[in-house]
Amino acid sequence: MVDLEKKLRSPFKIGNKVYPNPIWLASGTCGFGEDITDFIDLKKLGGIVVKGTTLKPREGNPTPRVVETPAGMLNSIGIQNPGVWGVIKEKIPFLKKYKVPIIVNISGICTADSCSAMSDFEELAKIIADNVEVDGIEINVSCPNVTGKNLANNMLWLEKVVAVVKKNSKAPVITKLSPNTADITGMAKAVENGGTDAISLINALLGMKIDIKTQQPVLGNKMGGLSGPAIRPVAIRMVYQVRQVTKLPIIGIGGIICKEDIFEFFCAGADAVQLGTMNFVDINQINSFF
Amino acid sequence: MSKPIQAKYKVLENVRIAEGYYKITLEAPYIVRNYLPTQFVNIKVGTGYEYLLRKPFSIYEAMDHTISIVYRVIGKGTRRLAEYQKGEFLDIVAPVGKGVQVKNIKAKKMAFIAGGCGIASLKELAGHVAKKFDLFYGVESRNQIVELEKWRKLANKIFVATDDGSEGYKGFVTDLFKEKVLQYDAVYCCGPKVMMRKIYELFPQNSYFIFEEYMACGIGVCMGCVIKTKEGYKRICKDGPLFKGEEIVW
Ligand SMILES: Cc1cc2nc3c(=O)[nH]c(=O)nc-3n(C[C@H](O)[C@H](O)[C@H](O)COP(=O)(O)OP(=O)(O)OC[C@H]3O[C@@H](n4cnc5c(N)ncnc54)[C@H](O)[C@@H]3O)c2cc1C
Ligand SMILES: Cc1cc2nc3c(=O)[nH]c(=O)nc-3n(C[C@H](O)[C@H](O)[C@H](O)COP(=O)(O)O)c2cc1C
Ligand code: FES
Repeated sequence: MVDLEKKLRSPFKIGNKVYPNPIWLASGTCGFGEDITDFIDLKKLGGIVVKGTTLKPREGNPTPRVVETPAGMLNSIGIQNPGVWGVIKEKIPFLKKYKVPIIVNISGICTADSCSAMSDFEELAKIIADNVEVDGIEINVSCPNVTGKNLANNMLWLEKVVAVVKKNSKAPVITKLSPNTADITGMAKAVENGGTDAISLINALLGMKIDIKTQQPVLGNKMGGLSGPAIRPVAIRMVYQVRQVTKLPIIGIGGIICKEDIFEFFCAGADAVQLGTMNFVDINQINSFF
Repeated sequence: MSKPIQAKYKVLENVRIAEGYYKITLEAPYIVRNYLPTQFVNIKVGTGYEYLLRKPFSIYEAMDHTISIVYRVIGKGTRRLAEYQKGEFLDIVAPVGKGVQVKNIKAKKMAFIAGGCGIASLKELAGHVAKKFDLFYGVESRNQIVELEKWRKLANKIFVATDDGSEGYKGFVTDLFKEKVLQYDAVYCCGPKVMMRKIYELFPQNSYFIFEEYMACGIGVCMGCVIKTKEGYKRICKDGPLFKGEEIVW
């Protein structure tokens, strides 16, 4: 039996890189750290994964962008962010003050009409490696809100994209898998073949809410990513399955609301976790984990 | 501006004040000491996962060590809120939003314009500029009018419009305001978006609007609650909820 309490307070490693503990904040749910400092002492975190970063600034999707659903929520933010140069110049310097491990979540853009995702990822990795020291790169192949085609489901593409990012990065590379696939272990093996240093999962599940008064989807973008406790059983199952096929470090994500949920991920095979929607629900409680 | 905190606050009273409207009063000394007008609170209703996200509500009044919130029951979260009893506790993140420095309000003759539930978001600010404004207030029907006697002490004149004509003018509050636009040097408005746009068209220069949008984090991290401005999307929960009309892409 694993000592779960001890694991919660122990350093976590990806390759040679050591993170002070296995509790990270998930991309998109803590911005670039600024507004979370009122509630959490960033220095205590094992890592902070900043908001999805793209090559060019993105203004994001039309509103409404978020809506509550049973034991969860849907979001279709559309990766609103100041672009990689904005992140390097305006956002990272702030986080550096806190000595918290910084993980940059990068996204290539692929719409129904055009797909620059592969070259985006390559350039993002290069720009970051050449201009700023960070503690990890998380490849977001799975954002449900910008991807026109479901690339997160294409093993050949995944392997290639990971290889390109790995080749151009100095920091450890973590690949974040999408749950919107019928073959999660296949995807995990593909990113391992591509050379990823760790795997994080899961991103949000594609969902929809319809307002029966207007008979229309509530979100401006119609579809969005489901997160929160509602998705936890799916995340646990996927972490468990991926653990069977890889020895790489796994970071479990999805619906964590309390310490016992983190332990459940550890039991499924995760080495670390990321907290997402919890930041919106009960942010104070996070302080009790350290 | 003081930092928001997450804390539990005791319910002192929770009463129905008009048809569909309730007023809840909380013992909240931290909020009273630290809020600015137009800031709001984010309430976690219930304890389980049924009402997962916090719900935003304006501070309606703040006194000594208590704040009150006026809310309209429109869905399951507000229905649950109405069930809270004296002595129970609510988990709240507050104060949030940018807030207004009252000393910067130089206007002498303002119009405060409220549509329905918007009255709840204007009251606190109105208390700081008493007798410098007229109130325009539109509701569906007279039995939904909220605490008009309190507004009589604050406003110079009050103009009420109801959809069914049961009180005041029968029709839209925007029509009432249209006649009197020239009398004012500033406008503060909260109500349905279509109404606010109409007011902006009538009074584009020195007009301010309180916006509502679905929120997730309520603290500025998720980019969920944005509004389109001339400088791109801004966060209602952090950069608002009050915005100058001219900033907005209507
Ligand atoms: C800054 C701010 C201040 C607010 N102040 C007050 C206040 O002082 N008093 C008050 O009564 N209400 C206020 N609101 C609105 C209040 O937050 C919502 O009415 C409440 O969250 C509804 O919760 P519910 O679970 O009952 O409704 P739900 O069950 O979530 O929804 C019921 C219906 O209302 C609609 N709806 C819910 N929330 C919103 C929203 N944010 N924007 C547009 N439509 C919505 C839904 O589409 C649905 O049709 C404020 C909102 C904001 C953003
Ligand atoms: C509002 C919001 C924005 C998100 N933005 C991103 C993003 O930019 N990049 C990314 O990889 N994941 C993003 N996610 C997904 C989360 O990082 C996480 O994988 C997902 O929410 C599941 O975890 P949770 O249930 O703990 O929230 C976002 C989630 C939410 C709720
Ligand atoms: S609700 Fe998250 S940024 Fe406003």
